[in-house]
Amino acid sequence: MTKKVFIVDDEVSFTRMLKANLERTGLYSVTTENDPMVALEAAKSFQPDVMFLDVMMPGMEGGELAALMREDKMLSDVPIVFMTAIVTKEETGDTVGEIGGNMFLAKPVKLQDVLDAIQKVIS
Amino acid sequence: MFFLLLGDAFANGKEDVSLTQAQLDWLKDHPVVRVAYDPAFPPVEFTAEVNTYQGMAADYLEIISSVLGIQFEIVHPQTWEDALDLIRERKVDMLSAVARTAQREDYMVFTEPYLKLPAVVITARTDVDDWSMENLLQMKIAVVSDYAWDDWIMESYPEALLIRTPNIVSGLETVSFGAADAMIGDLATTSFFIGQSGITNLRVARQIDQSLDLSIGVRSDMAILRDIFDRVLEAISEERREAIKSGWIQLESPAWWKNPVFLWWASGIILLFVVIILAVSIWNRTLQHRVEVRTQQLRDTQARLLQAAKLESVGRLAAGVAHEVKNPLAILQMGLDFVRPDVEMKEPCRETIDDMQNAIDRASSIIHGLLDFSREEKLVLEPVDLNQVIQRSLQLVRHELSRQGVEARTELADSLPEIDGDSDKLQQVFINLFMNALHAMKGEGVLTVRSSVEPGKSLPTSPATGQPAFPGGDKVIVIQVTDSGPGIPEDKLDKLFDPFFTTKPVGEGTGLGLSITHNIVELHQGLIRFSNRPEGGACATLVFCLSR
Repeated sequence: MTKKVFIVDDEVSFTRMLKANLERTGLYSVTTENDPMVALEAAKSFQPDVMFLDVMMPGMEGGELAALMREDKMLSDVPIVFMTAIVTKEETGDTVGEIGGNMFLAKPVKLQDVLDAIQKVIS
Repeated sequence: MFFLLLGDAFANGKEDVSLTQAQLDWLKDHPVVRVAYDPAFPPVEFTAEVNTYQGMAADYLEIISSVLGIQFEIVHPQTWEDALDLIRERKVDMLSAVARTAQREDYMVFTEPYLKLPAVVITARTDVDDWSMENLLQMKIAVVSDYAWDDWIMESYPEALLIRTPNIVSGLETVSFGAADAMIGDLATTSFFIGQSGITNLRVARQIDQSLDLSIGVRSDMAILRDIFDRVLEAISEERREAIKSGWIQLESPAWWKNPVFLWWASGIILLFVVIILAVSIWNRTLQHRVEVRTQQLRDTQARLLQAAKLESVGRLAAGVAHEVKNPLAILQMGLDFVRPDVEMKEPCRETIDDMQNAIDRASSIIHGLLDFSREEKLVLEPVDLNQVIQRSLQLVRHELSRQGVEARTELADSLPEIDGDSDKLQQVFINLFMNALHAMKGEGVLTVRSSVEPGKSLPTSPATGQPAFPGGDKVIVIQVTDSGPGIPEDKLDKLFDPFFTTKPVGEGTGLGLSITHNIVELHQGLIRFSNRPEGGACATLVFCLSR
């Protein structure tokens, strides 16, 4: 059974490419959202197993969106991985790291980094 | 005989003069009285301008003339001796101011003295304390010929050694030059001539009891005139006398600018001015030096602030660029990951995929460097043994060193005091320095790392960075990283810490490593400078203050 992955990032090309990569593995069903203002409702509708959130987005930052999701009973237990260009790999560790209790992926992320992150949070 | 009061004649005073009828009749018969005087006896009497009779005696005669209603015909002799001859020969009727002597009583009668002048001994000698007459008689005494002093000394002290001079000035000069030991004269006239002549080495040794009493001397056959004069002189008030005296005695005071007290004060004030001017001059020079030093310090500070501002603005730019570039890189990475499975099996394509991946990785590395540079460093401080950090850093680069054939040597102090530092950041510094040395050597060579403890003030300023000697007299830790490479071009030494400055070929460095290294060292309150070694190669010197 495929796992459901929800991706929020304002870069359309990035979300399209990441979705294509993940779905080609045959392991994941991916929904993307480029507007963080409607991402909460989209996530509640999709009911993902894991969510990837960009940090720097126009209208609402990833951290703020994550807080709203935590308050929602339907999404509060869904693991969240942040993706951002403003941290370095050194700060996050080799691939997936933690900063302040949250999981981070440093851009530019490689597909294998994303796959490893999904395995880590779901397990 | 009746007395006529002549009160109206005194313009200023209220004195009344009573004369007998016989005296009045005599005056009526003798309306003109001939007068001779000493032409060189100021301020008592003297010839001022050509044939002008002036002095205290002249003032008294003016009073007498107005009271009695007679005229005085002034006869101007050339010398005092001539004046005495004139009255002796009765070519004049009176002498206006003359001292009574036994010799003169042969041909003159005298009024009561109307002028009394204190007598003094004038001398230039400073080696004599006893100026009594007994001692004075052992010396050579100058007197004016035919003056009363001459007669008085000859009469009282015939054994005296007298040097007779024609006038007072001559007598004073005789004493000034040392030809005579002293001169006896009255204070008024001698003071007048001392001031006028400018003789500066004379002083009053002492005042003698004998005073010079001056009277009007009348030819002996005119005693009635003497009596008349006595009555007038007696009637002159003390105020009037003082007024006459003060009007002339000022002349005998030395010029104000010759007053010793004034001269002393003037000298003191001038000396004070000189000292003040010197002090101000020295102070000005000291201030000027301080201003120059402070100006140079301000220039240095301004340069460092400019550098900091430049780095800060670059940092902000770097953060913005990093963020904007990373997103496209992320897209490229995702795209590459997407096409990789489809093309990886075909050989030429696989090489292309690898090249694309290397490019993305390199761009990402540059972005990371920019982010590091833009980040305001926050140190995690803890006690750090720099020797251990050096060892750890060498371990991390040992593979690169051996791959390139570079030998690593360490000359570390046996016991290095700990400093408060961020070991990870310091490790980054040493790795950066080691890698820079490695790249400089480009092959075989020797990388040497030394650590020591040295006195802070022994370190000179850095010509490369312009940084001053390490501030502090405390001991410091010095780390030196040297290589056997070609060294650093002299014109590049002061640019090493500029962001994006690099001596490496394009693509082999971001030019941010040393800027970040410099930043980290400064955050540790240390300094870093580069220099070229005399034996070849470059040397990076780091200095850290010991923990307090």
